[in-house]
Amino acid sequence: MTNNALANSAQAAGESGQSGQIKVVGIAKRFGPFQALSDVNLEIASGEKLVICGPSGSGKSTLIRCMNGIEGHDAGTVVVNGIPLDKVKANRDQIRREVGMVFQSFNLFPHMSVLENCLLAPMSVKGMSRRDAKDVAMHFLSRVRIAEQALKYPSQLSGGQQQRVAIARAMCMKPKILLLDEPTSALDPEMVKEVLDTMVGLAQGGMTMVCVTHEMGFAREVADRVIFMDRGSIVEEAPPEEFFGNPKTPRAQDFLAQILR
Amino acid sequence: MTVFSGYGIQLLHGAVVSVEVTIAALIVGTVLGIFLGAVKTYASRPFRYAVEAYTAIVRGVPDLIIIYLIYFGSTIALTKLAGEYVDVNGFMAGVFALAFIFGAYASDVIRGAIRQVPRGQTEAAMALGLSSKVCFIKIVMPQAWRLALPGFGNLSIILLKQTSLISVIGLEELLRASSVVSGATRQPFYVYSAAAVIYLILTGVATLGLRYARKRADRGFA
Amino acid sequence: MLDFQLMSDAFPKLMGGVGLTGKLSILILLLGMMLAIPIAYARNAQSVWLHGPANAYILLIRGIPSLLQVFMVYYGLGQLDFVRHSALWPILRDPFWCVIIALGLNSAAYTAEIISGALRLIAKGPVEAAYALGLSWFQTQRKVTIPLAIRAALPAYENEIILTVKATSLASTVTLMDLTGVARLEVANTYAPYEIFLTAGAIYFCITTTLSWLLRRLEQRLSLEHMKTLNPTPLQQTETVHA
Ligand SMILES: Nc1ncnc2c1ncn2[C@@H]1O[C@H](COP(=O)(O)OP(=O)(O)OP(=O)(O)O)[C@@H](O)[C@H]1O
Ligand SMILES: [Mg+2]
Repeated sequence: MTNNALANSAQAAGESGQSGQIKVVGIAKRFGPFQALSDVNLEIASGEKLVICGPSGSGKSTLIRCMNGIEGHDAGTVVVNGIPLDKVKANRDQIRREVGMVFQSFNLFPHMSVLENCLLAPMSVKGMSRRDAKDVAMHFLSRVRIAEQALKYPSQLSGGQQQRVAIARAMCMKPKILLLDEPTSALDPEMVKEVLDTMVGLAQGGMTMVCVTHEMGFAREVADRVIFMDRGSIVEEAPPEEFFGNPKTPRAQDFLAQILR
Repeated sequence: MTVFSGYGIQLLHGAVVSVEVTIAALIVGTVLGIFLGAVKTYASRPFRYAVEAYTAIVRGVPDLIIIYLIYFGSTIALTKLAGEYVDVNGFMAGVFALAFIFGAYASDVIRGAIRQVPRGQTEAAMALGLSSKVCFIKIVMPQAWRLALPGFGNLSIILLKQTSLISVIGLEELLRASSVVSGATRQPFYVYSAAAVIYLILTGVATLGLRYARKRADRGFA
Repeated sequence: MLDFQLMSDAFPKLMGGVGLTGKLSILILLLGMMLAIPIAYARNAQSVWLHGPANAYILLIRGIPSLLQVFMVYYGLGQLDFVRHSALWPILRDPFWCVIIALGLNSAAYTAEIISGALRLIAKGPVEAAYALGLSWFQTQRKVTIPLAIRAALPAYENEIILTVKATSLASTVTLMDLTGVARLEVANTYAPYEIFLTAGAIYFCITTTLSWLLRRLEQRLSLEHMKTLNPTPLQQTETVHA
């Protein structure tokens, strides 16, 4: 029931325009001498739910952070919603308005209440009035079942609650695309489920979702496609059943053997 | 001690001037420090180097020399501008000189504090599409401020004591007032001791005030 | 706009004041260090009778501007009859010694803070090991604690050295002809404050910059790699300036 409501609002967000696509063509990224990404090609369709997995240091975060320009790429092109992500500031700003992001470590603003966290971007980026922004914020906060905590500060919430606030904060911008970088891996085990449930709810809408995660249950339930990365490249891609049931590359087999243990 | 009654007022008046200079220099110096701290953290190389050089000069030259330079420098500059002799207001010159010094040290405190704000905070702000200006004002500074508070507290107390140096350019703050009074009463030991007690009270009150401010600022943080 | 001729004429005269600036700095630092060591040990002692007075002294000195301290010693003490009649009067009427006493007492407080901080920082392990080997308290201090503390205190003490060199400029307010004193005299003679103070400032800057470069090299030589495990964190500079 809550999930459906969440799905509807996500759908509303995703349906404006035909956009919601991401095209990554031949991008590369190095940190000093270290090649973090090399020649990555990826096309994500509007409304698609994509899960990225792979061993630590394989470049998953780097790739997803290149999709909203938090990390700049050295070569290749990234096109989001039909807008090229390049040096042009206006393009980058436009993309960031339309792409939400959820971080492994929540990154809530500790000096602002939950509500203020959710109001900031709609008011100062979209120029919404406080009243309108508050309506939107309370809508999403109640969708992630945390509306009663709106006036608390992040440090007064549990990890799972904080991550749900972070999701609501991203949703308040009504993004067409939501990027999630290991949203559950900093959480205590008993809190993982509440966040995953929230994410499943979001996935039922038409919004494009790109999620770095090792949660196989989530991947099986919502992902249209899983990509597996290793050493800065995409090594394997397949629908979740196929990937988890019958991985083709030895590296993916090793990796799955390890996380299944 | 009866000698003190009339002169006591003069000392207290000097103390008020010292506090006024401190507050004015604190305000100007803080604005300067935040601006320069931001330049040191974010600006491109030539600007950064220019501010580094300014800080190095303040660190390497006695405060007294800087105060003289600013006092006489502004007198000369203003006289040239006006075409006739201008007597620069000692209060203004003093505030400006102390703010100039304070700003240099404060910029390092601010830069250190900005660097301590986790990177994820700016990343989250960027991901939400906030402009770098909004990000600095609404996200970075409020958090950096809390981290900078101990350093700022130290600098403010030093500033309060530095106001005594302004006496060399003739402003009648607490030290200058004590010198005048001890000349008149011929009791320098008692007069300067009284001044010392006043300074101790002022620095003590400032220390307690800062401790309170720090406690307040830490509320809500784990 | 600047009169370079005037600046180059003033330069040798100003350099004549550097000697006194140097002499004052060295004597102040020596006096400060001599007093600081017992104060630092007292500050770290368990007994209130030791750490109480030590803390009070530091608090007192830190709460009062150093220029006032100079005036108190130079102008203030002379008012007291017992001082004027004491054997010390020839010293206490001399502005040179007054500045050294006032700024030395001042430096002692800041140096004591640095040393006591460094002593507290020393890991318990090596000290306990020394006791376990049968070394006495005194031997342990000499062979283990103090060598480690010196390395921990060095960065902060470097700062104290630079601050002391800068603080000697206060001597000019009690008629001494140190670098700042000569500069003030030259300004009175030439009516060119900008040029003269700029030159004096440049000389100070060269002195302090060279000094801090030399001190940093010394620090690097002393901080051997294998010491790091014993002493992972050097003392934080609690105070960057004092006035
Ligand atoms: N800012 C940076 N500077 C230097 N190296 C970096 C930086 N960010 C990432 N790297 C390096 O790039 C590589 C890929 O990092 P990335 O964070 O994308 O890995 P990941 O797949 O997300 O790993 P994890 O599962 O641990 O989060 C790592 O080896 C990392 O050390
Ligand atoms: Mg990662």
